[in-house]
Amino acid sequence: MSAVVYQSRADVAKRIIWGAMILIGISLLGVLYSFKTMAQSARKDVRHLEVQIESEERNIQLLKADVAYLERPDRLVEFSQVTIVAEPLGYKSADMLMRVKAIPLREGKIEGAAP
Amino acid sequence: MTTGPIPSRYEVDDLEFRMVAEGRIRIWIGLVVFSVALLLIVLRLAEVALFTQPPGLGASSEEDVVFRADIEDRNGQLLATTINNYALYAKPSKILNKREAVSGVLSLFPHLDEADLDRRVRLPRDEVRLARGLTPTQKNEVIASGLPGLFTKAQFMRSYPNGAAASHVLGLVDIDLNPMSGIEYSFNEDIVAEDAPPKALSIDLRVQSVLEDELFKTVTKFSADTGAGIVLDIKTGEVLAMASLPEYDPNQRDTISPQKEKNTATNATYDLGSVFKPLTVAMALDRGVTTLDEAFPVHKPFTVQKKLIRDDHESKVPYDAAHILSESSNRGTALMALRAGADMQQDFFKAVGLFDRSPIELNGLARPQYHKEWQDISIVTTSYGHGISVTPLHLASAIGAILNDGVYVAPTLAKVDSAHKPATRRVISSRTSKDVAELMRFVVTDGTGRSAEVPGLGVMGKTGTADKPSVGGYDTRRLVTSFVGAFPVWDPKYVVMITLDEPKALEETHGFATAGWNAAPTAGRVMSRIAPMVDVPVKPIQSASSFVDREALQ
Repeated sequence: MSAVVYQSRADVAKRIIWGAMILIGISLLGVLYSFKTMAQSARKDVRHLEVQIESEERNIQLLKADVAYLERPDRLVEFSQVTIVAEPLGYKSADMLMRVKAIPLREGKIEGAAP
Repeated sequence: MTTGPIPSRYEVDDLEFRMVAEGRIRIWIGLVVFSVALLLIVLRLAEVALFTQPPGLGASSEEDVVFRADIEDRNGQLLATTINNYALYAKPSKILNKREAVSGVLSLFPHLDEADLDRRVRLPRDEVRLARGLTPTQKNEVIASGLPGLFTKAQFMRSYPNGAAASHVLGLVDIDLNPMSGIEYSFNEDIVAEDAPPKALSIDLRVQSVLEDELFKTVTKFSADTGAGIVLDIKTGEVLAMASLPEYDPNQRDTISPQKEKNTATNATYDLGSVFKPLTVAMALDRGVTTLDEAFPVHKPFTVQKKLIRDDHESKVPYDAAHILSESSNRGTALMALRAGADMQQDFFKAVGLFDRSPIELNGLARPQYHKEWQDISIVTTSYGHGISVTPLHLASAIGAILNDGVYVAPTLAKVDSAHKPATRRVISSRTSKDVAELMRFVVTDGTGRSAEVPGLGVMGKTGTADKPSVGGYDTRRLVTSFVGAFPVWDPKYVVMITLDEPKALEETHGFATAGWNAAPTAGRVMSRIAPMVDVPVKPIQSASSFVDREALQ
């Protein structure tokens, strides 16, 4: 056998090491890629959540504005006048309320009222 | 036949060796070239996969975040907030087929003008706006269309859920949410600060609603040009309500005119007339110019610098301070003021803030106008509110100082708490304050302000009807009527000021358009309705006239 055909053990080992390094490199690249894609999708999830939160906050803001509109005092006055024929509260109502409050309750009625 | 010598076995081995060696070199070169190419491809793939973000090709969505905090009333009711919609933009350089883009946009928004769109997408700019006010659905349609070079931006819009309520206080922002007027302008730094909490105002939306309702009814009924109303907490300086008519809805910008935008409570001055008289009486009593018992000869003709001073309600007897106020005697306050003198009068008016702009957090505030040379006639006319023009807020604050135990509190539109307390200063003694409160109560029980009375509330007040200045004097047909009221008399806390510009007489008012017929009853109704809201109880009250001995005067 000639020296050209047969390689030394050192050459073989070197090639194996190179091959292994390339394999490891490619594997690391693959791992890095998978981590990167995982991080990307996590980032996308976070961004998606952030967008959702912002969107919900804006919806809440819109609802608050809606509630404020529905609770407008002038609207409530008009609504109460139309539906239950209520009058705006004035000194007469306050006076009547005070008179009612001034009526003493019968003793023992409150404490013993709940069977 | 071979011509050359036959190679030996060793020579054949060398040749084979050389050929194999060359082959190996070629293989190595090929391997290296292949490896380098593969490495380049792998590196490029890695770069693309690991470090490159995918570019947006079609329509996309962006947003310009503009933060403006909410504005709330003193009870946390929302007055102004920021909501968002979308605007459609184009990047002309990214649009490959302009006609396709235009027709695509038109299919989504048929109301847009085709020629205008075509012009816009050809403009040499980075980006141009094509449409505003897109709903979330329309925004999604734009993105789904995938048209290159088109994108939407979230845009923010200021919304005022209560419509015209307190619109002059809240003010306006422009289309890009830059502040223009009112609280939006004055408190802009607080409102735009990052993560700023809602701005709490002194305004009570319930009280504001009542004031606007009653003012609107009166202005409409008496066909007044404008109207102004203020409810002021004189102990804290907080403005609970401030109304100005005509009003505007800040949500409908197209309907706002300069006349509507003017806040007549703070940005317009008037000769307010007799509502000044409690100030003159307070000054005279406090500075020792007169006493409660002294009677002034208001029944005699009185001339100053050849000008006859008239009283609307001519008297046949002298009047003391109580009757000077209750009968609104010009001569009475003129006599007091003349005795006090120009210096004392000016010092006093300055002390109650009538010579400076109101220290309230609004822009465009009117500066008071008064005589440059303070002659006797100036002293006299100013004592009953002529020849001096101030805003309704000026007068409400000044009367507030008189009734607030003699302490002036600067008016404010911010909710008062430990961090924010308005400036205060004493202007008259506590004793004088109580006396003037009684006198103003007497005006309502026995004088010109009877139509403002609310049983059980202890209303104090003073009417004022002034002719409007005209060329060469005053026009007696054009009036400014006012009523400044306060309650409750046992612990004055709230001042209600109503001013009407040129109210017209009615048949039911017997041809009168004076304050007793319009401003005073309006203030009374406001006080009646807001008393339960501000927790002022109704109490049985004796008439204030008990301390005034009318018969002794006779």
